[in-house]
Amino acid sequence: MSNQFNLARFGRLFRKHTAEHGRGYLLSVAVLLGLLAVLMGTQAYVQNDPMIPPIQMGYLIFFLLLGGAMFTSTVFASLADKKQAIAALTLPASHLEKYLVGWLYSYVLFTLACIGCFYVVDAAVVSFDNWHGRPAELLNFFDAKYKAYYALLVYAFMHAIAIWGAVYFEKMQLVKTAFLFFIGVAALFVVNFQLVQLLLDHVTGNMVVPFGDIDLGIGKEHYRLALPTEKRQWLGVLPALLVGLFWLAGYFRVQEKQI
Amino acid sequence: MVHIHNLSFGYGKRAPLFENLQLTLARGHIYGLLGKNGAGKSTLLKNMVGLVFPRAGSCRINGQPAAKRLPSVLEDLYFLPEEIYVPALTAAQFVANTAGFYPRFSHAQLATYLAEFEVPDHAVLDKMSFGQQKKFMIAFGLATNTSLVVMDEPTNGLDIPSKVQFRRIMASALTEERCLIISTHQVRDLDSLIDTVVVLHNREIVLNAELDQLAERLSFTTVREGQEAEVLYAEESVRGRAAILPNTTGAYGRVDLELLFNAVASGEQSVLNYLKHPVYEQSI
Repeated sequence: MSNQFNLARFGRLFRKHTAEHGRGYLLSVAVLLGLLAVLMGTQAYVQNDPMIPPIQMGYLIFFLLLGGAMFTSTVFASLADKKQAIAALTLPASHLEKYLVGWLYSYVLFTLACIGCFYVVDAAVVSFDNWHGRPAELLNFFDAKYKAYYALLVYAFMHAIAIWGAVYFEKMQLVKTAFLFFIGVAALFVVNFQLVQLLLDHVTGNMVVPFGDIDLGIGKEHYRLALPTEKRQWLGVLPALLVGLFWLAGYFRVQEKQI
Repeated sequence: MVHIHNLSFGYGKRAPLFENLQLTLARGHIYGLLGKNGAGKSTLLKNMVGLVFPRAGSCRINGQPAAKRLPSVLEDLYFLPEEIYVPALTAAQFVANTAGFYPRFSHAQLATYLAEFEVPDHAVLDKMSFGQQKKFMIAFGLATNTSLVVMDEPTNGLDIPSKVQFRRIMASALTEERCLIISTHQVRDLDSLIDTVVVLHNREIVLNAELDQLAERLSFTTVREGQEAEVLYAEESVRGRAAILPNTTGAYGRVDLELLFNAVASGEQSVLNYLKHPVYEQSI
C-alpha cells in the first residue's frame, strides 16, 4: 500500500471526516441558505427594480468568496487544537490524503454547496420578484455575457491563501490570513510603484497596478506601456502559479506540523 | 522496534531538552517510562511517535524515521496522549469509522476490554466522563493490535478500580510481537505491570533496566539503626526506614518501583553507580 496516496485509505479518511464534521457542515449550509434568503429576499422586496443577473452575480461572488474564506479557515481547525492535532496526525493516513480531504471539502464541495444554495434562493427570489412585464432572468452561470464562472478562478485564489493560513496559523486563522494578505497586497503596490517611478524616471504620476498597463505623460504626449495583445494571456498564468504555490505551501505545512 | 540514536531536541530556540539521547526498545516488553513532572517524558514520547522532530540524531520505528509519519508506520503504532480528543460520535460510530485504519484491529478484543472496563458502546464519546473516555481509548488502542503502543500518563483520570482493571488488561495485551510503553509520574500505577523501567532525569535516561535484573542486583527492604553501612539509599516511610541494599544473597525479591525512582530522582548516585559496575567489582 502506497505511503503517499491510496484510494481506499483516502475514502476511509473522507468518511471519517464526514462522520465527525458532517453535522456542523450541514448546519453551515442551513445558515448560508438563511443568509442568502434574508439578504436577497429583502432587496427584492424593498427595491422597485428587478434583481437583474449582474446583481445576482454580485451575491454569488460575495457569498462564495467570503463564505469560502470563512469555511476554509476552519477546515484544518483540528491541526490548531493540540488534542485534535495529535489524533489527526497519528491517524494512519498520509499527509497528502489528510490535506486532500480538507482541500476537497473547502474548495470542491463548498463551491458546489454555495452555488447550489445560491440557485435555490435565487430561483425563488427571481420568480417572486416584480419584473414589470419583462421576462424574469435567472443568472446563467455559464453565460459568456456575464462570465459568472470566473468566480471559480477568483475563489481558487482566495481559497489557496485561506487554506495556507488555516494550516499555518493556530489561532484566529481568518483574521491573521486576511491581515497578512492585505499587508502583502499593499506592500506589492508600494514597491511596484516605487520601482516603476525609478525605472521610468518619475514620468508617471498615475497609479500603477502590479502587472497592469502603465500610463506615461511626457510633455503633452500620453503613452501607454502594455504587453502585446497576443502575450496578454500569459498574465493569467501568474494567478494560477500563485494558487498552485499556496496550495503546495499548505500541503508542506501539514507535513511539517509539530505539536 | 524503537531506536533513538544521538537524539537532541528542544522547543524553538530554547535550551535543548535532550542531548545525544540513546534508547532502544524491543518487542515483547512493557516499558515503564518514569520521570518527575517536567522531566520531558511526554516530549520523548512525542519524538518517538513523530509528533515533534529532532534537532539532531534520529528516532526510528522499525527502521523508518518517526518524523515522516508514514501510513505504513502509523498503522502499526497507537499513541494515547495524556489529554485525549474524542469526537461527538457514539463509541460504535467511532469504531466503525476508525478501526479500518488498523489492519489487525479486533472487534472481539474491543468488546472484551470494554466489558471489563464497563464502558457502554452506544454512549456518545464526548458526553462521557473523562475517565470513561480514557478507558474507551485505552481499549480501542489495545484492540488495534499494533506492534507499538505508546501511552502517556494513561492512568490519569482513572479511579482506583479502573487502575486495577487497566493493569490487568495491559498485562493480558502483551505478546511477543508487541512493545508497550507507558509513561507516568505515578509510579505505583505501574506496580506488577511493567517488566522494564526507564527513568528520565535531568535530560538524560539515567536508568534502563529489566526488573528481573534489578531484583537480582538490589534488595528492597526496611532497615534498623546500625544497618546503614550497606545501604545504597534510604528514606523514611510508614513502615520504617525503607532502603535499597546490594542483593548479596541472590534471593529474588520484589522491586519497590517507588523507592527505586526516588533513589534515582533524588540525585544520589550510589544506586546508579552500583548498577553500572559488575558484581565482582563490588566484592573485590
